[in-house]
Amino acid sequence: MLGTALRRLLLTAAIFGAAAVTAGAGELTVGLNLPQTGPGSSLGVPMMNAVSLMPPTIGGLKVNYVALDSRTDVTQTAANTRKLITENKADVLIGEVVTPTSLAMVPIAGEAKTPLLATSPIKALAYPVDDVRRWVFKIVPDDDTTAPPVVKYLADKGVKTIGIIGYNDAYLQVWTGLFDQLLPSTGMKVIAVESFERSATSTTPQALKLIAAKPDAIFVAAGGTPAVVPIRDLRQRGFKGIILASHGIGLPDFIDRGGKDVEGVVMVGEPFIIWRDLPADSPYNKLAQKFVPAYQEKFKADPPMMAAHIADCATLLEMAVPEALKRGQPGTQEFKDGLRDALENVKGLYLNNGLLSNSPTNHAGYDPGGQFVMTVKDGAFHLVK
Amino acid sequence: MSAPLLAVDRFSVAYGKVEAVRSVSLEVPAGSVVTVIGANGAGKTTLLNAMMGLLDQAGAISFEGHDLRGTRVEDRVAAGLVLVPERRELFGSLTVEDNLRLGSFRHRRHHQIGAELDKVYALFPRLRERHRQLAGTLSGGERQMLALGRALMSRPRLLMLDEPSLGLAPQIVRESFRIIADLHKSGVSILLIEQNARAALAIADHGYVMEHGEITLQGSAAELAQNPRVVESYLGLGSAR
Amino acid sequence: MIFWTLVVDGVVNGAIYALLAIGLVLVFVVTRVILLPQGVYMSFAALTLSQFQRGNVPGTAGLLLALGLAAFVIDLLRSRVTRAWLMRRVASDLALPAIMYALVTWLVPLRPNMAIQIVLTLALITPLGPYLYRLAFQPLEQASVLTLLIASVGVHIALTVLGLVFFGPEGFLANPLSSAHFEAAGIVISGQSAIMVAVSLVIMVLLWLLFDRTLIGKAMRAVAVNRVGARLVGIPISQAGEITFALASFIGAVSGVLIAPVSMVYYDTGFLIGLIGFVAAIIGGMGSYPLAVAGAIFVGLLQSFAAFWNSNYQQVVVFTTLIPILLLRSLRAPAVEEDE
Repeated sequence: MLGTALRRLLLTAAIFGAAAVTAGAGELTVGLNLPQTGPGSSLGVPMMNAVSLMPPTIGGLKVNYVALDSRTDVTQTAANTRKLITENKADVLIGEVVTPTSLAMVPIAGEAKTPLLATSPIKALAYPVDDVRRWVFKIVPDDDTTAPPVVKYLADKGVKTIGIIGYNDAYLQVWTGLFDQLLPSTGMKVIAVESFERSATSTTPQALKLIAAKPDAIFVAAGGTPAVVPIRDLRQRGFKGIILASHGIGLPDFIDRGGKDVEGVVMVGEPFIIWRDLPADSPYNKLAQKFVPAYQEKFKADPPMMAAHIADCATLLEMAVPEALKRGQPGTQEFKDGLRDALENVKGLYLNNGLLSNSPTNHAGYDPGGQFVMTVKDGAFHLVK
Repeated sequence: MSAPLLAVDRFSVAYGKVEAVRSVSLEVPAGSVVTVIGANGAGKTTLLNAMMGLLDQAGAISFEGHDLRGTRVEDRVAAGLVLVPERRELFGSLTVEDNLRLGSFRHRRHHQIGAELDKVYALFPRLRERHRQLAGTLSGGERQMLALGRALMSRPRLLMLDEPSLGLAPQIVRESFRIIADLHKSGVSILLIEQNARAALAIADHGYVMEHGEITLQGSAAELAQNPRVVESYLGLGSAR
Repeated sequence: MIFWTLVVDGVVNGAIYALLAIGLVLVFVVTRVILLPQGVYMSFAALTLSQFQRGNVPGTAGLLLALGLAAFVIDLLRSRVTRAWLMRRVASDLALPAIMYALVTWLVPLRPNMAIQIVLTLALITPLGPYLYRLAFQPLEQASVLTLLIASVGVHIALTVLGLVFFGPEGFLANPLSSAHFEAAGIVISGQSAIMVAVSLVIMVLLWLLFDRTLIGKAMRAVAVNRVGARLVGIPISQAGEITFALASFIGAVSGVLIAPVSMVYYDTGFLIGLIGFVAAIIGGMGSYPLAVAGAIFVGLLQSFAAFWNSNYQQVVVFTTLIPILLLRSLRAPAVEEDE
């Protein structure tokens, strides 16, 4: 435990130390703000690992990566973001991974007219695209992107009635809203919505109520480990129908904690999670092949989804930097403008997270067709063919 | 004279910057009854509490020749120094018998506790009648009996009594002093603090007068009872009560 | 049938709240400390058990070593060092944690059975209580309730941060204590639930026996009722505090073991559940065990039925019901420190 913490600290210090050298001419500066300590660190550390695998040159420019520890703290994030922009003269920003801290970066990046590649799932990061958010581009697909495939899957299975259970926060509202929007044309309807607290010792009452409503399928609007308890209680109280969950469950912790209770749970999520089940000539398989073996060799572990976000940032920059260089040199506002425009006009770019086509009104333009239906089988996610 | 049971030398107690007890020296010879008399607020209760270890103190204190400086209350109780405080400090939500048994807490590993309980009940038959009653429901006189009984369960070698007659009916006051005299006869040394100077001097061997935190007079009980200053300040009023 | 299932669910949760409430009341009446970390003991125990089941040595083993050493050093500077004192403290502060640490690091990779995991968990968490008492609260023995509460907040924050370091931000579930299920009058009761209620009852009966039948227990009650009186009969207040804290951490550890298999436990879960225990304790006036238990069961049932009635308003229902009760209690609160 202490060993890895120390290693992390040294790694951060090394990257940070390298950054003290001011950006030379013709050098691209990428400023990262990621949690290395605090509650977000389990997500931030693999991302920082992935940073060490990012290409040393992009578009012919030497890249200077400056990574700061956000400590999963909003104040620290704000300070880091300002520092990256003013002192390190970052041309582009990457970060954060937890909702409050990721949102804290947005106004600062917008004000400084510096493009931000946002690596947390929350939709409000880049929606609606306004004067500030025109600088922000999402790396993680919105729930809007996965909702149509979810609804299609349910319709294909002949589902008529749906129950929803979720965390007692805005995330549940997001999903009830999406169902309200998408279901009317399908003949399916939501017949029960239940919520639960993160600290709940039991979700039995909610499970009983949902089961009493006899839905054909139940959708779990919660991510990661919190999704395990309601799924277990539904199964334990005898629910035999389809259980679907939002793409937030696509983490190893979910399967680890859930064990056999979450076998058969279905979700619609990013291709990276099931890339091994995709044919070798699939663009997603090829992308993963470029990144995963290197990560495995260096860190002796499978890269989690979050690490793939960093690889996607690199792919995006490789596309955008040559465009930006036509407008100006790194360190200039012209260069930043060029990056922004290139990111906004990206069309049909394959990423580990899906197929991206942005537009002036959509900075999270993932194609629903780039998302895949998968299910938990024998302790891992597998593609549903 | 043999070595005193309790010796206090230049003893001072302060509450913040206010010295409530200033450089008090006194002795209690083994087998004697010693009284400290004085007006309300003279520092008598503070003196007893400090000797018991409840308050921080400066100066020397020894008991049976052992230095007590820096020892905790429980060590002093174990040595045989036992205080019956002015406010009795009973355990109101515990039964009379539990209060008495807790008196023997320091001696809980010995087996004669039942016998000692019987002795206390013999001394205070009222307590036996009420042994299952909660201490908080007792009358003032009964509380005083229970406080004394509990102190006896601690096997005192020196029993320190703080205003045992305070707030009690005259008949019960007489009863209390009779019991104190009996205890003395059975070999317990006693340090008595009283506003009722007449009753105190009547049973004491030796007395001290305390005024404004200092000892201003001392002598045998008989001498003090004759001292015009004592007669004027304490006995005159004392007899009127 | 749903009704009775909800009753069972409520009672099972109430049993956990009751254990927490009892620990809080116990510590408060004897030491006047409002022990916020009571819930942390629960989280620590649950997460420690989960780590054992994953074959990891939990951070709490190292914490025990560190706190034991700290308590030893602090006391060394503060006490009159006698031979007997030294023997006792070396055993309780240095040897015990060292043995526990060695035992844990040796046994855990061997994947011992559930019973041994539970015993190890209880043995790791219980001594934390007395160490914390000696480090944080004993020096403040004479301080006001407010000062003690501030110290309690400090200890709580420190432990929560350590919990995050030891166990990370994600939740853990342990394996169930029993996978049996039985049916009574149409409702399915899991063996786990039955064990939770039964163990809580056993703990309550044992505590009752301690406080009603033994002199040590009565001495602790005496400290609670009248500290001066207790000191005057020679009851060592600080030792009573240590024992109380040990009991509280033991109760917390038991509740953690009980909840680990049913609820996703995060490093900070204990605080949130502990708050409910605290509410139950206040229903009991912070002084009555039976009322605290009744309050805990009541809150458990209320939560269960509120969640079934409308889960979106569960917390709203629970707290709007509780506020008038708490107001009423505060108006006619019994004096905790008895005045003679």
